[in-house]
Amino acid sequence: MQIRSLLKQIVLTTLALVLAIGCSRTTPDIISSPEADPSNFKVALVTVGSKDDNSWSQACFEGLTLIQDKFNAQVDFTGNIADEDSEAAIRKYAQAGYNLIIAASGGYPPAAEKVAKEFPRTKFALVTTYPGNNKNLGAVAFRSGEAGYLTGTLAAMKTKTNRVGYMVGAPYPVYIEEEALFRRGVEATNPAVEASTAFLGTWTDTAKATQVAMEMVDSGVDILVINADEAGLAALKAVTQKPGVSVIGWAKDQHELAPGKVLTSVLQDIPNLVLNAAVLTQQGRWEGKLYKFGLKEKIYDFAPFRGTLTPQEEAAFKAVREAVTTGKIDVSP
Amino acid sequence: MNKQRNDGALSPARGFLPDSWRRLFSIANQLRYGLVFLVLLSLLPAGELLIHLSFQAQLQQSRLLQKERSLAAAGQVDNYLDDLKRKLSYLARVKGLTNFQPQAQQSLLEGLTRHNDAYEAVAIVNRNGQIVTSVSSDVPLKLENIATSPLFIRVFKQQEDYVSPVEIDPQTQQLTTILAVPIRNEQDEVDGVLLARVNLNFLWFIVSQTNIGKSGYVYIVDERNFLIAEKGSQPETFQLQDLSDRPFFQTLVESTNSAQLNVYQGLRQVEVLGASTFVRSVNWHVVVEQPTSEAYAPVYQLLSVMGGALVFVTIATVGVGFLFIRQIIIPLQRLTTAAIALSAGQLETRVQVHSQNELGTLATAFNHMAVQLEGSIEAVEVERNFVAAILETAGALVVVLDPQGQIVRFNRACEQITHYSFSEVNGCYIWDLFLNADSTEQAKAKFESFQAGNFPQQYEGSWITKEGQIRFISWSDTALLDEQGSVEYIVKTGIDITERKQAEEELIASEQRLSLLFHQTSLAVMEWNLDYKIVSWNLAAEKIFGYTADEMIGHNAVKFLVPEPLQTEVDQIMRNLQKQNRWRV
Repeated sequence: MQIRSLLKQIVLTTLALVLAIGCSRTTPDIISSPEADPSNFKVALVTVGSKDDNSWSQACFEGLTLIQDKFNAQVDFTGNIADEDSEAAIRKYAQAGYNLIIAASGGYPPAAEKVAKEFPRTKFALVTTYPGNNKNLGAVAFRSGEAGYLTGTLAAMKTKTNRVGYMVGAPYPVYIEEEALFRRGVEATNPAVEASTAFLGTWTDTAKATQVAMEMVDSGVDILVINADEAGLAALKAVTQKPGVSVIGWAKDQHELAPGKVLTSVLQDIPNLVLNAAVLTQQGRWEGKLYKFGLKEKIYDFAPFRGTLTPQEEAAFKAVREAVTTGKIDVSP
Repeated sequence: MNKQRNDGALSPARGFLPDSWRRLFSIANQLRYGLVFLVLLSLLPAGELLIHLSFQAQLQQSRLLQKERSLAAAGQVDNYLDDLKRKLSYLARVKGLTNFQPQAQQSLLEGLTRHNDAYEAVAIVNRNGQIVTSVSSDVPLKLENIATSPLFIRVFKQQEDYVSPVEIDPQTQQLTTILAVPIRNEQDEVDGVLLARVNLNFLWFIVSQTNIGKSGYVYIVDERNFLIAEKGSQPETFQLQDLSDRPFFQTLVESTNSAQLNVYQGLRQVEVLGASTFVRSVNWHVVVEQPTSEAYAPVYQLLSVMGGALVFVTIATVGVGFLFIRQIIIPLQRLTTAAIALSAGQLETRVQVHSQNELGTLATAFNHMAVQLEGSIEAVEVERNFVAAILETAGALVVVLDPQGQIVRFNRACEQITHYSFSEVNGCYIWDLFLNADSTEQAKAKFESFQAGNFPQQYEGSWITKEGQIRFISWSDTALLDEQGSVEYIVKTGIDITERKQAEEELIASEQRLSLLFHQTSLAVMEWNLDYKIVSWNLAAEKIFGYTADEMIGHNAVKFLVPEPLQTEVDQIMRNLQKQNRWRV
């Protein structure tokens, strides 16, 4: 009887313990949150390319996704809008009551200016260098002079032929500033180095980009900065076949395209650049002016050098970068 | 009989495994180990999974807690700075500020310093980089070469807001930074710079008020990766430190938005659980670090509680299981031991099992079977003893042979006749002991005939005793067959006829001698039976009485040989003799 009583007690105790553990309140998972209803913050994005072009438009679309995630915003996207069609696209969103309309092209300012004047309560953001209307039309842009100056510095530091090159897709103001600072960076680093620059007028014409790049190389350029999207990729692959020629890539880390031949790549955090427009709008700080972002804000950065620079060169570049970031070196256009 | 019982005794299951392995795989051990294995297989993985999930959840909670702390601290920093910047931004949007009268500008700037004592000094710089209006709460503002400074270039030329790197004011030993914004003229064009030198004393308040447990701390890193404030440091003695080369810092900054745990050697060279939040308005990082020894304390406490609970549940489960198994194993062991003892001949063995389950029924059946077996064995033993006694005491010879002719039983009559004891002849071939050379082959042939099924057989034979004497025996042999019908034993039963044989031979000799005397004697010899009929009549009688044997045999002797007057008397004598059962005259 004693054993039975003992057994009964043990069984009951064990069951109670198991039930206590099993029925204990589970820790709420505070990582996941229930799907909330969208907020009344409505954001639209208009781009020149598609949202999966693996380039500028896709990066801007990723910025729109960030806005949606951060603010639980209602978002919409219209891609493949040429400059001449942009006014209708922007107006459509303004009429639909969107709070912020982002026009992500250097060719959209005229259209944006016109529509912004018609809808003063709507905020318009251009993703390019644009001074703004001091009211409801502003812009977010790269502090492109920083990247231009530093790539010029790097190219002048590494050239052996004293000839360096820079090519970019379109002569938008942002790239005109970048080209000018490239030249200034080259000159500041080594006045004996001659800089060749070219505005391709296309982001997609691979043949033209390759031809221009090869002409530069044939003229003696051994360090070439290429910022030309899809067209630039073909040029990069072509010129790196030439012995002694290295490139500085753009937008993404392009080391894999030509290992050992890519000194570094200028990394652009376009999604966060686009996000900044929404953040300022949400804070009520969208003042219709140009907001620039660069190295300081980590919108720009450089891919790892992977041994393409000596420690001394790397230290020297770091010092110049520090001076540019803190404003000690004037990178104003 | 006991020997036979022991030979058939049960032993633990025999096989190719050694004893140690057989014990290992006994049912009792299989139940025990099976239970332990079952518990380990089910409870432990489930418990470990539960603990692992709880551990991960706790770690995640710890990480989120650190992240929340850094977010809260960063939020305070951002709010404070934003408040300072908003005042400047407002003035930056005022059209024509640069064209205001100096007194009006002075009043606006003084309003700032009166509004918040973080504004150490405020000034308006014209497009040539010259200070046109300035207000300071304590130390006058002194700036050199403004026109070529990064501040002026960034604000005036590039028309951007500007936040200078954090510095320690050599006069006040306070952390300071300069906020600057472009200001506009009446044409709404950028025409000057509004700058404010602000002290960052609020940072010390924020870092000191942020509670990170007992040993945790918070610190702030600016965009140059300089340490600008740290909990526990004294503002008066604090020095800016470059953290760029500290290996942990880059990892921490890169993982700002990561959901992974950030465990690393922290600022104070101890392993910490860290979280960093980026203050976007000034590009600073607010870092919260808590030594893992403290951050994980709740996790380890949870682990110890859950581990203890798991161990307790495991032990309790195994213990309860063992108690249940014990209810099976002990009766089973008792049954096994009893079965072995029973098979070893201990017929009095009984099992003491009081269970009401199948094992109780089995034990009861076993005891009943043992009782029946004991009774049967005792009855068989009585019968056997009775038969053995008969065999031992009988005058007849009884020899039992195996199919090879070896002696397996040899009763006392055999011992008395042959003067061999059973122990001497046990296992010996019968023809090697008791038969002479002539009869050995005959005996073997007879044996073979038994194998062929020719039994029973009766015959007379002879044995040679231990002393070499011949004994004549009348045998009656038969065979006992096994279940397959083969000869298992041959039973020889014999009667010693040696004396009879001798008497018969002596009688024959006596008859031969009497016959010789009967025929050669000169005396008349006649013989008649009780009816006086003459049955024999020798030659001398023929000569004396003149009658031949053929003539006299069968005739009444009294009538022939006794005179008539005497015949009555002779009859009387013969009757008297018959009455007195005396046959001789």
